[in-house]
Amino acid sequence: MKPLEIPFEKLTLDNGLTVILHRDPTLPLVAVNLWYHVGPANEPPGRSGFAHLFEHLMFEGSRYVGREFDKMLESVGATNVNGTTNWDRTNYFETVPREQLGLALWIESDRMGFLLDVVNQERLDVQRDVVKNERRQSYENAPYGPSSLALLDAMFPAGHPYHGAVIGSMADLSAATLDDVKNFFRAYYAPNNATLALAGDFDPAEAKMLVERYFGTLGGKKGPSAPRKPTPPLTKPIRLVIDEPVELARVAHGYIAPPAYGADDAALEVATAVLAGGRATRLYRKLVVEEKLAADVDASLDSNALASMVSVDATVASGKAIDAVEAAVDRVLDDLAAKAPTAAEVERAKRRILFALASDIELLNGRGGESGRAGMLQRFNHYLGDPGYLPKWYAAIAAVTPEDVRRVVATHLGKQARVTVITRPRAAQTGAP
Amino acid sequence: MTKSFLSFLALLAFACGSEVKVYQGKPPAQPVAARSADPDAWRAERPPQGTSAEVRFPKPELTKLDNGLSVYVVNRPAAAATLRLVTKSGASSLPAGKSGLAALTARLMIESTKKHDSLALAEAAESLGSPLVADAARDDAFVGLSALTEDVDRALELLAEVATVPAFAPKEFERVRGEWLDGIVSERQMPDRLASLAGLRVLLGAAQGQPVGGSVSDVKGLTVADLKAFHARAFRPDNAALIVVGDLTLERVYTTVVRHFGGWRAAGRPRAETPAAPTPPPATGRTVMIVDRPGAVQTALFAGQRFPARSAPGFEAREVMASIVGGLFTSRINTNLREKHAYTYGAGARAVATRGWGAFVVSTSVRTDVTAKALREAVKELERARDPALGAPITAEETSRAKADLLHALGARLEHTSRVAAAITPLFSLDLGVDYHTRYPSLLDVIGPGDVASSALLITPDELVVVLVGDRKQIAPELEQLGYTVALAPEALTD
Repeated sequence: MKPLEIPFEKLTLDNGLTVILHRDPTLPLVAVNLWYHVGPANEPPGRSGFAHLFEHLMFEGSRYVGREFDKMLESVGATNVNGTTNWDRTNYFETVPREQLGLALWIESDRMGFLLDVVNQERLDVQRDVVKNERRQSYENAPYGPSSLALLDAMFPAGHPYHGAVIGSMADLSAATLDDVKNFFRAYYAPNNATLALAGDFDPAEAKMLVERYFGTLGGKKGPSAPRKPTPPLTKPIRLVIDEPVELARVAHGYIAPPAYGADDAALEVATAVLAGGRATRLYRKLVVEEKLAADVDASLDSNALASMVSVDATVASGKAIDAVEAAVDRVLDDLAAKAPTAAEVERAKRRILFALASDIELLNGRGGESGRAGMLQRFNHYLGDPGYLPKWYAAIAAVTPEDVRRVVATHLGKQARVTVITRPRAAQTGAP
Repeated sequence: MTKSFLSFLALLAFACGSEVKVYQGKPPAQPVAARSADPDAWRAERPPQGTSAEVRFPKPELTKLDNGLSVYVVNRPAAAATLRLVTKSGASSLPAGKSGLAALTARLMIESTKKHDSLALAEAAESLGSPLVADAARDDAFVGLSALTEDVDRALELLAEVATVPAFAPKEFERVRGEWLDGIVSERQMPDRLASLAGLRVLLGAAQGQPVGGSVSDVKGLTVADLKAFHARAFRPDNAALIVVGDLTLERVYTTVVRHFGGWRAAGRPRAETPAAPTPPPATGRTVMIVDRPGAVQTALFAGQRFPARSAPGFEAREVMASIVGGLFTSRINTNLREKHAYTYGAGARAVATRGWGAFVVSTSVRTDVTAKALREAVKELERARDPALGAPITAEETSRAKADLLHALGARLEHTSRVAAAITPLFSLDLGVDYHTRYPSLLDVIGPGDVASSALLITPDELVVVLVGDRKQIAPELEQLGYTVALAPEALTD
């Protein structure tokens, strides 16, 4: 495979706003993707979920644009319009026809500078309730949602920036005040704590002029400090059993791994692809095809600034025992920790990862604003300060050896330090799991 | 612009709200004598738009091989190509009692072939970069994969093998059917999915309304012989199309396509399908069916009615209408249920249109204690869309907004070869014509608020089939107060 690259230009405005430009005139569209380098990791104590609640308020409108900007964007044919919150960052994005770049920059700059004029108690209360509904829909009333919440609560200790779920607790959401909104905005929503990426069809000189006009005229703020708490390792296995109204049981393991783009990140990415994600993978072959114990398996790596998380899940097939699935998952992991996978397995896993990257950068911007070209430039810039890291990441994946895979599985995916959540069907809770 | 300069402006407080008609890097210099409270007042001016260029969805290249196989090629500059082999026979073509057969057949086709066993086939595809995929819908089913441009010949060979000589090995069938049944169970665990598939069963009847994935009892009864027969009937060159999207042309792939698909021969003539018979629409009379989930903190809501099929004239106007009522983020239903009342994280409506039937469906998940109120508000929005006398006639602004959204949503599909391939599928399966997407802008262009209002007249709020998945004890009393008859959903609805 040919190495991948996303050509870009990076500049910084006088007020501290970082700007990344990637021009590609193939389609007459521009993806606008704005990252604020703030996330749940920056929330004050007792305010879990606040960064995400704040993200919702960013859609309430702003002083000069007014409240109707969703309609404005729809009227000009904007696509992939959304905002998302993850541990370390919050992003806002839209893809617009190229002639509407000015509109998108006008809207984004106005809410960066002038949000507080329109947010009031009534709108805070509405969005608080909307977010609570989101929590119900995504977790409380969703199969395996309560189990996910339990796992996230146990992975990092209370007080750690990654403790709990991004969406927060109901009690903390209830406690959020209008003063919290103002303080958070003043501390973190500023040009010098944000990065703007444009990807698509634009004239670079004109785009720079527009960015200078709408964003360069905003004041910077006191440099917010990023949270840098050391992550305590899991020192013992934690095992939780959650009863849910589901029919199929599930076994989920969570592991703490080194931070994003650290030494073992690429090898862990390959290791999870050796384990699952295709039909020629270890967990799928063993648990689903050969032993027919699982209905489905998954392994994934979620890389973040302070620590990464690896999850390994298996949904227990109807009529099979939970402990048989747990034991089978452990056998697969033990095998991989003891003996390196074959060269062919590793090549296939790497090929899938690299192919997915090649496929992903067809998009100007991905669905969560963290993939596609604009999203990938932002992600690399956020974690490494280098939007052009893609060829290096590609090389890092390509360089992973079978022994690397064995070593990271042995080092990071051990039984001695993980959180295990067993989801037990409520109807069948009489038998011991 | 520096912070200090902004403070300077703020201190003097003399900027005026000037006219800004051209792009420039800095706000216009303000005359010192002018007085205004706000140095940022220039921001209130919406920027003028730049030079526009329409996103044009290209007309695919189309040819037909001697054996009848249609071949669509769309050229897109991408490293990876998407390949799909589509049959016109989907879930709607199945007889009663065989639900799930189209989808399960496609799934078994990518499991193993007469040349590659299960593991070898998975390895072959994944060595190219991505797993083989299979899926079915009401009017089509497909098998496919993605590959780098330089690997397309190998990928076409693999796809031809999957399409023409699948193994349907009994041992693998038993295992994959087991996985499939657990997949059905998993889907039923999701309240919104359960509400939707139970709702369609009530609305369309027990045969046509079966989910594409099948019912548990039907899938349990399927046999290898059923799969082989469906494969022979559906996956034959005169009933199928090959869709190729990537940095390729018909000229470039033609020889390879002919080499791998040209010898594909269907046995006998195309057999007439005996799809499940349509049933008359149910007379619901304000009945609400509840799938009881004691303790649920939310209620998943389905409210649907029959609607014109895909081929009925005015499809695009119905699309625009559904967008205004429930498709856009700023749709009437989402604005009411989410932004005004905060009953939900999101609410919407859509017009589903298949070859044989159509449906208009409202769906949402709402907090348990506001279930009846949310249903009432959703119905109120439908009545308001239908009846201009209620104070909210369809406006020109809404119409234009919905049209812009639909048009550009199609354009945005060009960003990825897989989205293009998905957009090409109905050109073939629904006989829309190879130029449908190039004609689409002009089809939308002629639609005005009057056409949308006419489409809205098709909404009949009194005949809605309502299915709720939630805590019956908590939600039933208020629904009864609203005048609904509350019934527990029979078990067949969740099969």
